[in-house]
This record gives sequence, structure tokens and C-alpha cells, in this order.
Amino acid sequence: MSAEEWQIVWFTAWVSALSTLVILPGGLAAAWVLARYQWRGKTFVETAVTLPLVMPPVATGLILLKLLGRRGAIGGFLHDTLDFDVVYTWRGVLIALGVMSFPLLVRSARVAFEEVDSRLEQIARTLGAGNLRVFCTVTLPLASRGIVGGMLLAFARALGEFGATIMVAGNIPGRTSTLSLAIFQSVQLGQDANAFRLLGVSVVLAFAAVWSSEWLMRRKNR
Amino acid sequence: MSLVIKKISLPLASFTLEMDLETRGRVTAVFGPSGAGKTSLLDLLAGLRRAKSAFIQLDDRVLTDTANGVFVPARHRGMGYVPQDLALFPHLSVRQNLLYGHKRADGANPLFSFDHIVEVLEIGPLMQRGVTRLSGGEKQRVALARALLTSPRLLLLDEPLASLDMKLKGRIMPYLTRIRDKFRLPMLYVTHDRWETLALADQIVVLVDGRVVQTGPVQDVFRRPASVVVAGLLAVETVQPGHIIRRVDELVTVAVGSIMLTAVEKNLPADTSEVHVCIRAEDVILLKGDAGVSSARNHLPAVVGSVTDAGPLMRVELSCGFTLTALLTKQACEQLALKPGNPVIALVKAPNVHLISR
Amino acid sequence: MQPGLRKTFVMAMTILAGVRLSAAEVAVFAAASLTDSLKEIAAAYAKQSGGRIIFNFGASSTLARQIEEGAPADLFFSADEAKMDGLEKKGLIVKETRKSRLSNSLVIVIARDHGAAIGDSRDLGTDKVKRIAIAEPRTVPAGIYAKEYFQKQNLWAAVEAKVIPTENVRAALAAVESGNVEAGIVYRTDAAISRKVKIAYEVPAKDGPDISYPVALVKQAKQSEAAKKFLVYLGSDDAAAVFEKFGFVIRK
Repeated sequence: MSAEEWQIVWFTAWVSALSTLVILPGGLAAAWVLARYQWRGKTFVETAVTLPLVMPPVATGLILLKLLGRRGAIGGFLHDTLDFDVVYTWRGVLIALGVMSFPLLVRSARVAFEEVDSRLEQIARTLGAGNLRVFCTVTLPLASRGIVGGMLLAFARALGEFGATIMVAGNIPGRTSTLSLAIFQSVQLGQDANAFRLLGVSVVLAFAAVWSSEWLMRRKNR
Repeated sequence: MSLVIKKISLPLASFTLEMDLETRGRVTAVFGPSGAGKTSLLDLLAGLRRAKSAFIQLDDRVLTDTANGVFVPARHRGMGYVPQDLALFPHLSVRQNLLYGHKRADGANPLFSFDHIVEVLEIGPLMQRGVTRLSGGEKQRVALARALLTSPRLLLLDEPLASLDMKLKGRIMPYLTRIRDKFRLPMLYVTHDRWETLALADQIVVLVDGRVVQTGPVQDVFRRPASVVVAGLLAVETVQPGHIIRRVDELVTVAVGSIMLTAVEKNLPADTSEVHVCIRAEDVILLKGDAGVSSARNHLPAVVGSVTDAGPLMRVELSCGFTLTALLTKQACEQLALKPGNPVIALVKAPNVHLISR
Repeated sequence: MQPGLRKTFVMAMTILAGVRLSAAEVAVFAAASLTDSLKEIAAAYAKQSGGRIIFNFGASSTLARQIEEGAPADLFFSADEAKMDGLEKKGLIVKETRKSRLSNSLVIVIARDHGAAIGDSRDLGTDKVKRIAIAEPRTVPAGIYAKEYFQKQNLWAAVEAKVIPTENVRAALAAVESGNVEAGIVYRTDAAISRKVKIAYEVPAKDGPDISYPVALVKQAKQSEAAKKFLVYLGSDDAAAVFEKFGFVIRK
């Protein structure tokens, strides 16, 4: 494996990890609200959160491109006022990965929260804890296994993301080229040997991530 | 302590919890069959549940007043809650569980200090253990200590001894009486066990299908259940139909079948003729041999039907023209050498014969 | 056989035969830059002779790869000679049918409204331009031509870091249209069909690379006869007129 290939692996790994961390607060909040509350438009929210999982990734990528491009609602503002670009940069990759793996994180975290006995949370309140303290000292520790499992799943998804990424960030060598994009490129170039090497790394990473996720989620805390 | 619970209206699965109650006392037992709404009541008091209509005041603090939009959140109510399933935090050690709600305040009551409570409940050796590796009795004590360590003004206990066997119940009960006596902490004690009630409580509230059917000092309510339902709940062992023969002021002569009994009953309506006759088994004294003269107005010749084990006591079923149940200590039973078929005399004082109009 | 059943059988056979007949469509794999011109030519051909053409447009590199893997193409119309050479070396095209008669020129395009002020290719090296969209310079002909041009002008070092490589030349065009890049290098024929970009600079023939569009019959073609017929039409004057209309250059 050449230095260039290792750069691609390293880039893919850190941007996937970072995207998982970035979606964590929002993902946990969404999972918490879905786990504990009922309200009239709840099904709508559940569906919206699950959409990136079932829509064609390029379709999601197209929506992101329209929003984050220099003429888009968000991208336009960033470009004009802050001279800050998102599409065709690693930030675009980050957002594409984050959006695509968000549903997986929310689903796992929601199940983890639902499995926390709400009686324990109530008793914590009678012991004088406010909502934030209850969440941090009771809910989160008891849900931690499921949450970490969800994070690993999201990470694995981000590692393999292609359709949305190529729409939003292109495949710029050295800057936005991820493992999956590089494999595609190698096939285009007829460099099958390269492609298979990168494919091998990809499989190993994904396997490790999903395996640990399954292992974690299977072992119940109580 | 005074606890005012008024205008409660909380719809539950098969009935609505409705209450209007004021109680003072050291230990108030909330007594009733399972599903009577007792746990929901505790949840309302602790602020873990909201009702459409409720007014709750503890001493001089109004905690809930739906009419005026007042609702003090659970964490500011100063109530220690020991739920039925104990709800110990499984991911924390015993020590961490105990310290969860503990406020370290200078000038605080030394009774509620960490060391004192650990000593009273004898949980010192359990400190570093994981919660899941405690025995039933140990968990119970830790849960009690955890609630106490918040220096509460009122302790809410939801059937604390329900899941323990007789032996363990006997071992934990002294801790509860210690809490009552040493800490002088008012307690609201939910139970369906009359033995616990008699041992611990001074006031009792009887709750059936979400309604208070009787309330008052424990001994009074037990001696004079307001209805057959309450009598049944309180497990007054002997309830027989009777017919009033003669009344002179409080003194009533009542016939159960062909047997005449003398009762003292204040609260009977003037024109009652048909009644239930209730006699608690603890109030029946057994005599072997010659009765002589005794102060008890009721001497009933009887034959022993069966003698069965009832924990620390022995239940003796007698036939004296009707079925009469007596509870004796094991020692007494041995001394009298009671066996089925033995003739005995059952003595019951007139005030212990309770009449409920039919 | 019962009369009802016989009728159904005949009907089924007719439908199947009809399906077989309409499968006499010629499959043409063609470079993305030929999209509009070829569609018009195919429409005229259909009107004239009734022959139906179906197209697969894309980057010539992608199409060549697909043909290597056995995709059902009848004709291959590439945007550079290299891709055709590759297939010829592997024996996948019929050498005798290969013809190169079409050429194009490169242009620098900018967005029509609020476009960056670019006079010639040197401006691409300045700070005015942060991103330049070109087709993937490692594989796609349009990108290879663009890189060749920059290298000849000694500009590659200055612009390399700004290059946003795209899937094919039309994607580069779309990137300029979207405003996400300041400039792009596309064929003159691409700029002509887009209303959202304008040409900032046209690379003169002497400075530009030698652009050539070869076309050939694919050896494993299913519709060789019909394909050969269409191939002849592509060399006709009618077709030449359409190509020139779109801005292509016809080489004799």
C-alpha cells in the first residue's frame, strides 16, 4: 500500500470518527425525546429521522448539495458572510457522513434509553436530582452500552458511505477522497489491484466496527 | 407532622383515586388490597405523578395545588421514597447509592449523618459491594438508608416487607421501629399486611378501589371495622351474622344462632336488629378446666376443631355453636396441650365483641 | 386444442415476436459531450429509416470499462483516441470500422451571472479563482485534454491544487452552473448548450490539445447490421450538419 493509499485510509477513518462525534449530541437528544415522550406529530419525526436510511444516498446527497452549495440556503449564507465553503471540502464529507449515519445512531440509542427503567429516574428525582443530573448519572450510564454500540454502527456506516459523499464533496484526491470513492476511482482507472487492496482495508475496518457493536449490544448490563 | 391530602382525582386503570384526608401521626399505614391505588397515592405525594385535581400540603408547605397552579417538583419536596422494587442504582456501588441524595450541610441534624444511619441500619460491611450482589434483606436496608440520607421530612414506604419471607420480615421490622423511634421521622407506610400495621403504625387509612373507607387510630379501626369489607381486609377472623335481642344503652345482647353474646357497642343506629358480629382472634382467651368467675362477660364452651401454625403464633379454630377463631402464642398452646377434640372455654370481653349493622 | 386456448397461444406468440422485433435497437455508448447532438441525429435517423437508437452517455473512461466487462454495446463513440486504443488492443472493436472525423475545442466557462472576471487562462492562476472544475484528469478525456493544455502553458503547477475533478465533462459544466466553483474547463459544444454559463476564454487551436472523437463497431455487438447502417449515417452530410450546428469541428 502506497503512502497515498494510507492517506486515504487515515482520512476516511478520522473523518468518519469525527462525523460520529458531531452527530452524537443531536442524536442522543432525538433518541431521548423519541424514547420518553409522546406527542401528536411523533410518527412524522420518526419517519424524517429514518429517511436517510432508506432513501437513495445520491438523493440525500443531492438535497445536501442544494442546501450547502454556494447558492443554497445554508451554504450561500456561509459563503457570502463568512467566506466559508462546505461543498468540495472535507467539511462536506463530514456532513454527508453525519447525515447518512444519523438514523443508525438514533435507533440504537433510542432502544438503549427505552431499556432504562424509568422508575430509577423517578427515584433519582426524589433523591434531589434535577433533570440534567438524572440524565448524566442514571440514564446515560445505564444506556451506555447501547449508545456506544450505536456509535460504532454509525461509524461503520460512515466508513462505507459513497453516494451522498460524491455528490457533496466530489472525489478530490488528497482532500475528499474516501476509501469507497478511491475504490470506485481505481476501478475506473482499470487499477484492479489497487481497488482490491483498498477493498480489503475497507472490509477489515467495517468488520471490526460492526463486530464490536454487536458484541457490546448483546451483553446486557443488568 | 400533618399531612393534608384533598380533592384528589386521578383516573387509574379500573377506578378513579379520590381522596379527602388529613392525618397526623408518627406512622400512618395506608392499608388496602393490591391495586387499590396505594402506589399511585405515594407517587402523587412524592411529586412523581400529576393528577387533574389535587391538593397536597405537608405541615405548612403546600406541595400541590392544581386549582392555583402550584406544583413543587419532586426534588424539592423533601420526601424520602422507598419504592416496592427498591430501585437501587445497579451501576453504582452501595456507597455511591447511599451518597446519591446526601447533602452535606453544617449544622445538620446529626441523626441524619452518614455514619449514624449506617450504624443504625448496620450496613457498614456492605459499602463497596455492587448492588446486584446483595441479599433481599440487605437491599432493603440500603434502600432505607439511601432515603434517610436525604434528611427527609416524611418517609414514604411502599410495601417494604412484602417480598420478604416471615423470618426476614421479623429481622427487618426492628430497623423500621428504630427509624420511627430514633429519628422521629413521620412515615407513610403502604401495606396489605395487618401484622406490620399493628406493629408499626399508630394511624391507619383503609383504601379500597381508590376510596378511603375508614381512617383513625389503628386499634380503633381494627376493633371496630366500619363495614364487613374492612373487617375482611383487616382479617378480623370471626365474623358471624347476629340478631339483637336486647339493648340497654351501650350494652347489647346479641344472638348468634342459639348462642347469646354480650357486646358493648356505642355507634349502633337505634333501630338495628340484624348485625354482623366481629371478634378478633387475638381477643379470644382460652381456658381449660373450670372457668370460675371472670370479668369477661362471654363464657363460651367450645371444642377445639383444628390447631394450625401462623408464623409466631398458633391459630385455633373452635366450635362453640358457631366457628370462633383464636390466636395463641406457641407457648400457651403447648401449656394448654390443645388438640382437636379438646373441650375448652373461650372467654371474650364484651367490648371486644364488635357489631356492624347489616 | 380448444379454440379459446389456441387464440391465447397465437396472441402470446405475436407479442413475443413483437418484443423480439423491437429489440432491434442499436445500443450506442457515447461520450457525455455528444449527448445533445447525437440525440438530434438519432431522431432524424429514426424519421428517415425507422431505425431506433438507444444511448448510454457517460465519461468515455467509464464506458470503455463497461464494454470491457461485457456491457451490451453495439457502437462506441469515444472522446479521445486513448480509450479506443485500449479497447482495440483488447480486441473488443472491429478495427476496420474505426473512424475519427469529429473534433472539438476547449473553453473556460464561468457562471453567466456574477461570474468571476476572467480574461484568459493566466487568470486561473490568480486568487480570483479558488476552484476550477474539470472532468477527472486521470481518466476522462475532457480532463486529460484540460491537463494537457495546462501543462503546455506551464500553468498546471499553479492550478493543480484548485482542481475539483468531476465524474464527466457535463458534471463539470453543472458545477460551474451551480456556482460552487468559479470556473470550469469544458468543450465548446458543452458551453453552447448551457444557458447558465458563458465562455470566458476559448482555447485557440494552436495552444489546445489535439481533440479527436473516434467511433467504431463493438465486436460483440448484437445488432451488427443495424449498427453498421447507423455508423454510415453518422458519416453522412446530414449528420455532419448537426454536429457543426452544435459547435463540433468536422475533419475530412
